[in-house]
Amino acid sequence: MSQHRAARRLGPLRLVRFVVQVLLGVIVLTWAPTVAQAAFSGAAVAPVTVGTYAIPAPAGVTGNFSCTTNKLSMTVNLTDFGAVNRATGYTVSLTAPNGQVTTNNLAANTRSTAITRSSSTVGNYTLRIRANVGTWTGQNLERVLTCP
Amino acid sequence: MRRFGFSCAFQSWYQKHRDPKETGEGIPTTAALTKRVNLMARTARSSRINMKSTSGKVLASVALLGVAASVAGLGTYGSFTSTTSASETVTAGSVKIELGATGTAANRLTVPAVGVIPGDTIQRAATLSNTGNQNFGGVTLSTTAAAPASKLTTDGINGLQVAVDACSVPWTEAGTAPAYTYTCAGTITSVLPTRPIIGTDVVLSNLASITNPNSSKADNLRITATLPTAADNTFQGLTSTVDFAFTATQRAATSR
Repeated sequence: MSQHRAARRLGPLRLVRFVVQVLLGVIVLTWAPTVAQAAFSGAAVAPVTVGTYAIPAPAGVTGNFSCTTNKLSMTVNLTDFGAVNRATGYTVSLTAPNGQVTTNNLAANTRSTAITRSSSTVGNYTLRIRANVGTWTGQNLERVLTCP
Repeated sequence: MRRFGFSCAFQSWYQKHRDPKETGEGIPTTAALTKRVNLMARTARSSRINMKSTSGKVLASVALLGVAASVAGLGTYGSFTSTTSASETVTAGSVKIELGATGTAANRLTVPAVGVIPGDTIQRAATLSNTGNQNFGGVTLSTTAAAPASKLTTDGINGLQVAVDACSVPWTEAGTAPAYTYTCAGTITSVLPTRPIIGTDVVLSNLASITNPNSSKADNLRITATLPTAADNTFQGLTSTVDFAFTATQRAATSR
């Protein structure tokens, strides 16, 4: 509406000038991109999918454990646990009821060890076994042990 | 009639609009002069040409009719003419680039790599052929990550890196899918030095298919993706698909 009023205010010469400018603008905008894109090309596409390793927890564990008579210390004897593919080592830890932790690092070809942890309080001990692949650490195999 | 040196145009206007009561050749009164000046101003305002006025509209219509008649006249202008003809065949060249058949030794790109850990490399062979009838001006590689993106593609430093090499003869493939490895019995040239796997219009160099319009016009490529050893624990269990798009553009225009 305002444009219509503006057009009506234009004199004949201004009107002609306005129309010519609009036409030139349309021509430039129409042809310039066409000229810029005028080249032959062809493309070939293929997808490449890459997935990284997610280190699993060892499949199982065998062994036994024993406690002192006051139940303030536990010793776990591991005889075997499930091997993890591509593991460069394993970490076995035993956490006491008071939160203190003892850790044993095993080589990739070793899956047996003995680990002892004392505690200032009586309660449940937690055994954790995980595999390492380089700097990556895997999921924990976890067992809660209670002194008999 | 002469009054104060007015022009002839004013004289005729004066004759038309003068006060009928005014007669003779005497000097008009001040009131009469004021009345005449006011009348002149009103007349001038009413006769200004613009798009509101009838005159303006008529002028614009005449101008449009003139333009239309001029254009139409071009088509209807009659004159004696004479024509001779000759035919010339012009065939456009084709720029076409192709990868080898998917799933064969000529294109292992689509074989997914799984269980990758830091330091691993993924090698895939692909044959890139110029199947058009023109040399290429250049070949670029654009790689885009399919959704959803992961750190493998968004982390330019610790994420996947890629390099492309060419062998003067077809690569010798070893290993079983997807753990292929390749060795070259001929000469290896670098087509793309190691860089982050995601890139747009990255120029490939040392391609035979660009400047070799004869023989096979193909390049034996080995694409190697690597996960840097610095990739930390947060890169575990990620999957990304990257689309490799090889784009060839026409050679420089010449006189044909």
